[in-house]
Amino acid sequence: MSAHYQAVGWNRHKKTYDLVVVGLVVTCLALFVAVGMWRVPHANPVTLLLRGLGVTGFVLLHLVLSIGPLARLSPVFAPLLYNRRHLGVTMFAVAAAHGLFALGYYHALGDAEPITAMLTANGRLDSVSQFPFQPLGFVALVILALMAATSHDLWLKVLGPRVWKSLHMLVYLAYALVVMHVALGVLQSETSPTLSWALGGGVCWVLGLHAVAAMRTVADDGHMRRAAGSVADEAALRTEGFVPLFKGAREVPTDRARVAALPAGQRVAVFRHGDRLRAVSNLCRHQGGPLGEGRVMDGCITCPWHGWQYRVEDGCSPPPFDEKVETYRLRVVSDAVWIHPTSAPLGSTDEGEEATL
Amino acid sequence: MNGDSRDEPMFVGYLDGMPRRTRAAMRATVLGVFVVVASAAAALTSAQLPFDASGYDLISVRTFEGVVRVDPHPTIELDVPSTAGEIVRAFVVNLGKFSARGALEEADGKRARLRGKLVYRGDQVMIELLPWSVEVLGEGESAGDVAAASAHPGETVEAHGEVTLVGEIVDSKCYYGVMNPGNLKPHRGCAVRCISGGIPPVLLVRSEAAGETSVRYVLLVGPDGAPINEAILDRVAEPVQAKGALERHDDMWVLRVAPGDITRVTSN
Repeated sequence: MSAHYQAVGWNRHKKTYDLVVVGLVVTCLALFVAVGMWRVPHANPVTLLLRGLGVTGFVLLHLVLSIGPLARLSPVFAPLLYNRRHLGVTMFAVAAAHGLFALGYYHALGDAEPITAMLTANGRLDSVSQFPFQPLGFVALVILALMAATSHDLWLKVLGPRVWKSLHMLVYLAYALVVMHVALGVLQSETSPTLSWALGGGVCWVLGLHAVAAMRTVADDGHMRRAAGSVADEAALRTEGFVPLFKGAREVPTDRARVAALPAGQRVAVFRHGDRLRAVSNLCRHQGGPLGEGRVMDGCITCPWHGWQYRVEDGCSPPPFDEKVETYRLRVVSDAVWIHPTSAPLGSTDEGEEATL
Repeated sequence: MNGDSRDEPMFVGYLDGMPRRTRAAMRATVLGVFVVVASAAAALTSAQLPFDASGYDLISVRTFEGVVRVDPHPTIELDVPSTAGEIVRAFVVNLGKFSARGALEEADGKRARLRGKLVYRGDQVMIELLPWSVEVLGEGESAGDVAAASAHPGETVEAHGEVTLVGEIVDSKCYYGVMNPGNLKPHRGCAVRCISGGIPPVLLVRSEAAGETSVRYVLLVGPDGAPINEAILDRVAEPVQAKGALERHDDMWVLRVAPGDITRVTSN
């Protein structure tokens, strides 16, 4: 969120994170090749290395996709998010090595240019078992390349948070393509059920984790809206355009937030700071991190993902930074929190609403 | 906030230190991830189909002498017979995914000396030709009976009648040893380019007898004995059946088959 860009500082947490990531890559690749050679001494080490890179990249992709929902389910996983982009870029590097290796090994040194050869060698679009699987991996790699190339905050600033986030949500399309690349590729020639179970297990893990995190969010939102709708002066508040958000204003912990959804679906974080409640958009301007899972530190709402900060009173980052998040007007009546669903002008200093203690 | 003690300070990456509970959770998580990743790597590599024994002398360059034939695909009839006393004919191919026809045309039917790298699998032998290494030594020998109209002088040909064979079309260079494995769907793209570039297409026919699997390598040529590489590219590296005339040319099985008589047996 800086006004002037500086090189990423390799602090202690980042160094530890990167060491763990490198350790995982080396462990996975070395074990895949070493156990493969030990099991079949005349095995082709080039083939094992090519496959090992694919396996390592796919395993890392599962880790990348697991971190978001894990951090939503418990803040103890927040450190995994802090340097996730390094994990993502490393995953891309491993996947790119697999792709380039395969391109050179299988498709080069022939009578057609390698990428053309890879895209056109198999025309069996009429068959599931014979369907061309390499182009699926190729498209996934292009998506991951775009994500890796734009992972720096400079691109976040250039593209804007919405476009940047949309681009990076394509990781789910890339994941689907890689799953099909594996299912229609190596699984069509190998016979061990272990491979199918591993792929199925990985997909179930990723989908299940996202489903659990989403269900928890939806359940919390629904519960809060229903509870808030039973206050006495509902009609007057509705006339002013307010809608119920949740009941339990007193239960919002100091310097922390309760997250709820507006009728149109946007999620807001209601922070308590001192004796006041303030509502801001739950989306951090950096990478869309859940502000409501952060805390107020030094008078600023602090995002749990990367520590970006916004002043409680107006949603603006402290100078010299210039990011702003939307703020909302609140009312507290009989311990129920009501909100006006139209956000206040960016940077405006609303009086907020005093919580009843 | 979900599921954590509210008294714990929040982890902020750019600040020193990590909350105690978060640190403990991270240690357990990282350890667990290492165990899962290591187990997955070991399990997945162990689940692969075993690699067949084949070889490619990437570094060692040898000298070979014998009678060269370029039709239907370049071969050299090596001076050294097999242990069974059979004539050993080895395909000769170029570097990469290309035929060696151009380099060997001047030596067709003649004795020649050439240098190259050995590719081998079981009793199948292939030579990857070193560029500009062919030296014509003299005329080839023409002794022996000619058993088929299109046979080369000195070549023994046995007719085995009309047959239908089921197998997989592979490019002989990769399957014999340059790659391992060099067949099935993941290898199709490579096999298509190899066969398109003139590498001899071979039908891999497996048969089971008394619990043993034996493999027969059958060179595919057209009814007139000419190469059919371009006509079969869309049926490479998948199960096919081929109906044609089976012949034994010295130590090499050959199927004369019309491209239209090679059909897929793959279900969707």
